[in-house]
Amino acid sequence: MASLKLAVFTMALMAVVSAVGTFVEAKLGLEHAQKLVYQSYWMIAVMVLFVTNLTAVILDRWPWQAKHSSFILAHVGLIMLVLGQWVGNNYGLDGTMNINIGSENKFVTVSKTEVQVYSSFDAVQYTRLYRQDVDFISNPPTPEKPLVFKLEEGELKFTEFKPFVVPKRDILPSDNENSGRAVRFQIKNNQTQAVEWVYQKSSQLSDIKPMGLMNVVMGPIKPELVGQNILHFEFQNDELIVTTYKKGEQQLHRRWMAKESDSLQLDWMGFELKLLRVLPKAEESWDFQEKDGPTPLTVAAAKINYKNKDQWVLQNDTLKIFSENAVYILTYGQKRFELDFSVQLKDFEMVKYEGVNKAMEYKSIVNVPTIENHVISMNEPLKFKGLTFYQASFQQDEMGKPISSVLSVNYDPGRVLKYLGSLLVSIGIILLFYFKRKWSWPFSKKP
Amino acid sequence: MAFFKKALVSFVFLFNCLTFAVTELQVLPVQDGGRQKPFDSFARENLELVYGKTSFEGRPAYEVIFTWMLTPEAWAEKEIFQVSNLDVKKRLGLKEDGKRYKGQDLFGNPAFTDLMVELRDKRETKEKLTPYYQALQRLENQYFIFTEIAAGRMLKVLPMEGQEVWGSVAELPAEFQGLFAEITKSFISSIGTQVEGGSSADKAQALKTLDQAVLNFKKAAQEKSAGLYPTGSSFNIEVHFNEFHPFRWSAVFYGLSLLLYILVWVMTKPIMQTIAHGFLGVGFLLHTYGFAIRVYLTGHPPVTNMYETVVWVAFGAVVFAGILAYYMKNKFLMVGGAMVATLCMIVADNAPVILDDSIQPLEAVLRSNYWLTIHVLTITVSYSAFFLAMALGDIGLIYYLRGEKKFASEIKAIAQSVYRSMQIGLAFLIPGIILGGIWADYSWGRFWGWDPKETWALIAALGYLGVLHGRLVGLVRDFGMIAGGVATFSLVIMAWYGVNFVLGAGLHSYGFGAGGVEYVSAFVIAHFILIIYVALVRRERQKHQ
Repeated sequence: MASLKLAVFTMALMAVVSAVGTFVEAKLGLEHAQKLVYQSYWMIAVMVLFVTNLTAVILDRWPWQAKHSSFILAHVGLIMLVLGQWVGNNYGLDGTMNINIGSENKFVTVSKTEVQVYSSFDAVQYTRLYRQDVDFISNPPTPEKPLVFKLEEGELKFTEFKPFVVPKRDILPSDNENSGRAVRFQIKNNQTQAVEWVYQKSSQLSDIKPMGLMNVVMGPIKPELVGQNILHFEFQNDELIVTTYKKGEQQLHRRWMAKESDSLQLDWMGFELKLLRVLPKAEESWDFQEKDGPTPLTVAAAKINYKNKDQWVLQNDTLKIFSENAVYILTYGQKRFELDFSVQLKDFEMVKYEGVNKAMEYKSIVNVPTIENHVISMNEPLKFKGLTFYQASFQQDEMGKPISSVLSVNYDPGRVLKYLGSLLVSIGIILLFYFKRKWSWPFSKKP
Repeated sequence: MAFFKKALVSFVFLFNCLTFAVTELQVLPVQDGGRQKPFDSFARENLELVYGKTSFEGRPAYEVIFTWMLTPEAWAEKEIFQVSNLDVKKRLGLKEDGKRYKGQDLFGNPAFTDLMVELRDKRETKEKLTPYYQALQRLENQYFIFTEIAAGRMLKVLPMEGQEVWGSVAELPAEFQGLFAEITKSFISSIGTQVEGGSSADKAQALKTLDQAVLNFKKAAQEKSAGLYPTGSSFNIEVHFNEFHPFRWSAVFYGLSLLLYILVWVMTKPIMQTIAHGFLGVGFLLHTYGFAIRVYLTGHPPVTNMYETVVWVAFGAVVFAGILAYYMKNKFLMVGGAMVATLCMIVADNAPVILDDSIQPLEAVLRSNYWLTIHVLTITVSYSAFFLAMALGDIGLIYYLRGEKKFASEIKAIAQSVYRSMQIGLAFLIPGIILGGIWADYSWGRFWGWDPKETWALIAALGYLGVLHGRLVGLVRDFGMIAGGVATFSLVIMAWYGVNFVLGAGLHSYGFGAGGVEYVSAFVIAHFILIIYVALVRRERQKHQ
């Protein structure tokens, strides 16, 4: 066990497994790499071998002498680093918290996923039937080996898992009186052209499509858009009214009554508007497009079978299922931990580089019990009740204004081991050079 | 720091007096890309994006860009738009063997609109852009830059009251329009005297008038927006840095020293050794001088993108080679050092599209000089030592080919140098990885997260540790050490270049780029072939003994 050949072999093995992990990450994302490689039994076996070998070589040198100190420190340090990482992974907390500006949050979201099932007989009061951790990446459900939840009537079965789907919206004509309304249009001049939908869910809500020099709006115009270039759609008794507002002009610029397949000349930089579909009654319908790897738009989805009917649920989404007597709610998504205090985001400040839309620095001003107005910025975290809060990122609305701050929240009981290990390895390396000078040069031994 | 700045400024001033003058137009302040910069830098960066070089038929970038505003129609008929991607050329129906094309053939082309729609659709999927889409993106940029500069909308020259974005030439208030028209007028007559070959007095007079026109504009801008308008000499230093380009000269001197070292090596002429040292020394001084200016201009350690790390690795390799040569009295070390320095500096200077040398705003997370200095500098300087080990390994392999018995002492000396270089490399790489862990713990909240960049740094460290441990048990002897020095460097290439340019995944996304994969792969594969070839030759020879 203390053999150096084994050590070289272990190092090579670690290198190969880690290298595979990086390629898995490049193709499938970090979560897959973690589950399939870095936290797999493979990796654990290699690490156990590594630590055993390290321990054995240290014990093998007994009784220790001064000249062994660099060797022992460096190798003990390595063991500590590995153990520290293991402790942190298994007993620590590593999650994120998304707080809207001006509001508060006490839930930390982690990457582990779970399924919860609730039932109700009156659709008002719900009782939780199941709460179970699931890991669909390592153990995806299949039609042959489904994940089953027994209900009063029938079984709820997870039968398929797709890690990367893009939910695709389609808009269809509808007969429902409470439906929304929609227009599909093409806008073009001799340099550019674009085809888009605008869909208004209800008469109070509006849909805004920023299109470079202008905003296309359906529904009420928000105050912050007044005075900008706007192309506005509105239905009056199933008739479409198209209005343009020009930047800097107080009054509307032009107005048309229009119908499907009409073409309008907008007299802005030669733009022509063509109305491809005009739907006074429309509804959304969702479809999935499967991808080979993650993109910012993909999400995981699981297929659920209940009474021979298939339905899909997206990660971090809920699904309502109706039986004859009851309503079931199924949630599938990341686990959340409730803290015993809440974090309030008083303000979020972002400084941009001059003249461009690139963040130079950003910071959150937060309140926690007993600490007011603490500033969390890049490289400057907040420590509170054993937890550390780091500035991770932020979210913007479609106009580029920040709306919420994303903090990463962390508790790491392995931290002491990691830092001590780092220190020992570093001292070991320094001592190694010191003792090396006294040793004879292995190559220069003359026969 | 203040003294350092003063010394640098006076040195640059002296240099300028001796060598070349900077015209006032070159140092005209411009707001662009998140910072204020001299017009000269603005012009070079944009000409490089459009044309692929920082000068056009011998004319400097600032003249070319200025004339884009004056006669855009004439420029649209010149072949100034670089298109390299074959698929894009095919889609546009262009001659496939051309390098640069006329604006009217590209943007007046009906297929251009289709390509832009294609690019936009791809962007909407938020997927990673393939080389084809990156080429489309560049085409879009070229079109945007040319039309916006031509229309006077991109050149932002005047701070506007109450606005963060400066006013462009097209938006100037009336009094400044007049002042700018003066600049234009004197620019045209200055160009006229040069093209028509006026007397040198005429030329000097025209330049002086132009300088005066720019000075008048600057003075008025200064008065209108005191405090917002930059003063001082940093723009002069930047233009001097652009014009003199110390890194290119250091590449030249490193190359000369390498040639001489090789001559010394082959012909054993000791006097030439001194000259070679001299050239290397001059190259190194110029390299240091370039770094001093770049650090002064950017305000951060010079390791924030691929280009800067390549230049930094060359620097480290010369330092390590010098120190080791001093202690080990081994002439091959200097050859190896000069090899690494020359290669790195030539690559850094000749791949502008892959290794962008312009000064860009830093990502928010990198804006911590303290951590950037200690973590990134230590990691990248370890690459220097490993690169040196590789160069030495190459020399060792050549000796194996020339005769293992005959050159036994040389081979032994080289194996020792490779071993030492690896030790130095690890002495920087391992603490560098640990410091990276501490920085990550401090700013992201996790010490080790299997991010590809950190994982590959670990893999490289494991590779070198494997070689060093293997030596202790006799798995690795002289040949193993020399071949290991060459082969293991491929892990460093993966950590340094591969993660950013091939994998393109993970949190170190601020260093991502594209291109050059074929050259780097060829470099790695050629070395593996060399190792295998030498190993086979050795085995054959041993059989016959």
